[in-house]
Formats: sequence, structure tokens, C-alpha cells
Amino acid sequence: MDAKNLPFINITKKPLRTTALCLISALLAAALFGGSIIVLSLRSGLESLQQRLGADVIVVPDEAAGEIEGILLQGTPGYFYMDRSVAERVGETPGIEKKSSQYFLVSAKADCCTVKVQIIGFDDESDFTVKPWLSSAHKEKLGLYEIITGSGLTAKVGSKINLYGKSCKIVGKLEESGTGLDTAVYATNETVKELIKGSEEQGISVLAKQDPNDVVSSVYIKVKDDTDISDVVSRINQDIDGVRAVRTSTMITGTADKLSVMTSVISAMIAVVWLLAVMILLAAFSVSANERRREFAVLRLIGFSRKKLSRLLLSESLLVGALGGLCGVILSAALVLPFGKLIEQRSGLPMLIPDVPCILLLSLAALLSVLITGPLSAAASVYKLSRIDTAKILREVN
Amino acid sequence: MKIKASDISVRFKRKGKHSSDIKILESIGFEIEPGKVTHVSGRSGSGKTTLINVLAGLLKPTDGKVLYGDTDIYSLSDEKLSEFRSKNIACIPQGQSALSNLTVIQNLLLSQSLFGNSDEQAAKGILERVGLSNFENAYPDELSGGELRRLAAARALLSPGQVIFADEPTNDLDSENAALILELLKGAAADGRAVVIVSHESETTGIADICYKMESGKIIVTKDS
Repeated sequence: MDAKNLPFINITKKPLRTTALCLISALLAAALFGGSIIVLSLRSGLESLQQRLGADVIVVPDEAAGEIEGILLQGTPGYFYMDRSVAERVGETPGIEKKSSQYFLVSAKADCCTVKVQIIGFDDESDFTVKPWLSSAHKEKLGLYEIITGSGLTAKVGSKINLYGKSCKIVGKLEESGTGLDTAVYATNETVKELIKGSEEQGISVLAKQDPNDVVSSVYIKVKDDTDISDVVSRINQDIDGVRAVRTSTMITGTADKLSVMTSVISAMIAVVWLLAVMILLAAFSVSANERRREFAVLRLIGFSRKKLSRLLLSESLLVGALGGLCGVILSAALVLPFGKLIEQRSGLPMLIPDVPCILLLSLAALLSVLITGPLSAAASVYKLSRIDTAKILREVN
Repeated sequence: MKIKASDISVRFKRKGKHSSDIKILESIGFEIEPGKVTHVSGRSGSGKTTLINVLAGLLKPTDGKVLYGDTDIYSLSDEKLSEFRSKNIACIPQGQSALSNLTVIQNLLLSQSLFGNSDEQAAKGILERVGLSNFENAYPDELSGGELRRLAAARALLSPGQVIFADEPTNDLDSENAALILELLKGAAADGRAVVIVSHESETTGIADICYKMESGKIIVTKDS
């Protein structure tokens, strides 16, 4: 028997009390860890989206103005087109530095394709929004049936995937963005034309018949530094019928507002959980302190000093906090990390799960907070118990 | 080691602004001899338990000193006094004093492990002497009242303390258990330890070398061998 083992013995011999305290600590850790991961992931997602769009303005057909956000943020498959001549007119707007068009194609969920993705045809010559984000180097021009995929697709670079009966080789993979772009497949317009042919051969009617040489889905615009972006947006919207120019920052601002609301809700939830946990732990330790008065009087009797007694109680609360905190972090990680995509879909916000070191750091921070909260809540009881009147308690009838 | 209490007074403040103090002990002088059984009797509320709590380092007197040899125990810090108590003083308090989360043997070894190495063989030997060797791994809630008192006695006997304070050690015990406890305490005194028994029961006076009686916070000698 070693007095150092006493905290461990005490918590294991009172399983009900320990489980209840562990549950509270677990709840607190889960709220802290899960909440932080979600907030951080959403922030990273938004930052990534901001960087990834690369363009100052996106121009889409008028009727698709509401759809573009869904495609970019949530990966909602969709297709809409405008005449290529319209895109050319957009490019003639003064103040434009770069312009690149893209062609959206929905991969049907039929057996033709191994995966259901948003296929985007892009102009390799003028592109400034896709290739800069290649994580593996493939800076040359894409050939026929060569594709670049988002990070969300499991297929590896060098492997082939089947799209509308056409075997396409993955030659590059983009860095993770936490947005709908992660599930997209990028190909040249020539490849997209072949895929449309493939869909016709397989009798899939849902696919658009428009030739990528005749139509485009969107035009990405980079405005010159000395030009006001709003002027370019206004001019396009005024001068060109049937299209809607959207300033990307406006889209981001809307998303940022949503994120801000969500962050506030999560922060408030964490604060409420923390407050509740502190109150419950305070009450639990206080009740427990009252129940254990005689036990502590006996410990004083056999030679425990006030300091040793305080250390015993704090060790117990630390053990319970560590155990509960660890369970909370693991449970929270098991819920939040695999279901990031679902949270992204439900919240309508881009979500980029932090890397492993950051997750470890957050879990440590959550654990530390719980470890501090436990002893903090126990402090009053520890003080009270360490100053018990041993002589008086031992005289009380037990 | 000789234990000497000089001019001990214990007063408690009454609740209420203008109330006077309650005097529990009043200028008591008291000596405890090694190798002898000292018995303190008195009616309920006469201050017997308060006296041994003061002598055992559990209750600081309002006035006076308690000396163990040359050491004034109440001049020590809490840390030092706790260590001193663990090494020099053993107590058998009133009622149940076993820790419910520990087995019988763990209860015995805990105090030893605080300031030194626990001697499991010695603990088993003591359990044998008090008739609890079959309950070594039992928990206190599996023991009867008499067995729990014997456990408290075993803990006191195992302690290295040269003085044992026993508060009503035979209270609520059947005659067989009571006789066993008293026999153990007598044996401890025979081994050279000082034993102080506080009791209102007359049967415990039989083993005493010195008897005191407490009345209204004062103490008088009634028997001195």
C-alpha cells in the first residue's frame, strides 16, 4: 500500500460518483474540442475559399446567380450555360487584367461513372484559378482524357477513373480547400467534348448537349490593380444582358457573416457548457466534501497534513478530469472529424479540417481546460476539507 | 518519552455577540508515563475527549502547552505536527475510523506508508493478534462493530507511536471483544508504550495504573499505583 495510490483507489471505489464527474468533464472537453475544431475548420475553409477563387469577379448566366455559391461552397452539382460570344464581350470590359472561362458538367450518378462529381472544363491557356493550386506538379498543358481532381476524390495521381465510359487519367491533384471544389474534376474543353460524346453513346439524357466551344458556364475575372472592382461589376451588369457579375468578396462576406453567427453560437454554447460544468462540479464536490468529512478526519488522524489532504483531493479531481477530458476529446473527434462533410452541407459553409498537429494542439488545449476546471471547482471544497475540525468530526456519531 | 501537559485550558466561543465563552478544560496539568496505562473517567460532557484530543495534537488548546519530551507540539507547523503525530502518537477514536475504500490490510498500511515503508508482515502479525487475519482483504463494510474496533486497535498497535490514546475503546462492544481490546492495550503498555484510556465505563479502570476523574473541566487523581 502506497499513500500515492490513494487518489486512484478512491476514484475507482466510487464508480458512480466518478462516472458522473467524468461525464461532466467529458461534456466540457467535447464542447471545447468539438466547438474549436468546427470554428477553426470553418475559418480555414473561408480563408482557403478566399485564396482559391483567385478571381475578383465571377460572371454567370443571370438565372444561375443563386447557384454558383452552392457549387463553390457545397459542391452542389449544377450546370448552366451562356453563349461564348457573351463571355467574349465580358472580356472586353475595360479594367480587366485576366479572364478565364469554365464549363460545368454534372457527372450523372448512373453506372457510367465510378464517382459522382462536378466536371469542370477549363481553358488551360488562360487559367489562373485552377493550376496554381496543384499539390503535385503537373505544370504542362493537359492532354486529352487527362484530368486534375480535387483533394476530396480518393483516386491517386497516375490512376484512371471512368467518366461516361471514358477512362481518364489523373495527372494532378489540387490542395484541399474545404469547399465544393474538392470534389470537382478539371479537364480541358476537348476532354469535356469527348465526355459529352460518351454520354450520348451511353444514352444518358441528363447531360447538356452544348459544345464547350460554343458555350461557357462562368467567367473568372481578375481586375487590374488600378481599377475599382465595383466599377467592373456594374459595367458588366449594365452593359451585357443575360449575365450576372458577382464580386467574389461579396460572396465571401455573406459566408463570413454566416460564419460569424455560427462562431458566436458555438462560443456561447461553449461558455454555457463551461458554466454549467463548473456549477455542477462545484455542487458535486461540495456534496462529496460533506459526505467525506469523517474520511478526511480519519486521514488527518493518521498523519495527513492539510497540504497532503489538499493534494489528495486535487489529484482525484485531476484524475477524473483527465479521464473525462480524454473520453470527451476522443468522442468529439469521432463525431466531428468524420462528419465534417455533413456539417459543411448542413451549415452551407466551407470547412477545412485542421492538420494533425493542430488537432493534437486543440485536444491538448481542451484537456488542459478541463484539467484546470476540475481542480478549480474543487478548490473551495479542498480548502474547506483541509481545515476540518478533526477532533469535532471524530466525536460525531457515524 | 514523557508527555506533559501544563496549564491547559480550552474555551469555545458561544454564538451570539454578548455571550460568554464555554470553558471545557480549565488549567489542567497532566503527565503521561511510558509503560503505564492511564485511565481518565468522567460523566459525558466533562471534557475527557477534549483532553485526549489536546494531548494527541488534534485540538490546539486556548492556553497551555503539550510537551512530548522537549517538543512543544503546538509550536510545530501543520506539516511537522502531522508527521510527528504519525510517528509518535496512535489514536483509537470513538466510533468507526476505518477508510471505506481500503481493505483491512490497506487501512493498516496507509499510515505507515506516509512517512516510511509499510511493513506488510508486521501488519499481518497484528491482524493475527486481534483475530482479524481472515479479514485481511475484506472492506470495512463487511466487518461488524466489534471487528471495526479491533481494526482501529490494530492500527494503533502497528503505529510506531510511543503513546496510544483510546477514546471509549470498549463502547458498544460485547464483553468478549471489550476484554480483547483491553488486553491488547495492556500488552502495549507492557511493551513500554504509554496508554491513555478515556472511558465512562468502570470495567476499563481494572487495567489502569493511574486513574483520573474529570469534573467540570478539572481533573483529579483517584488512583496512583
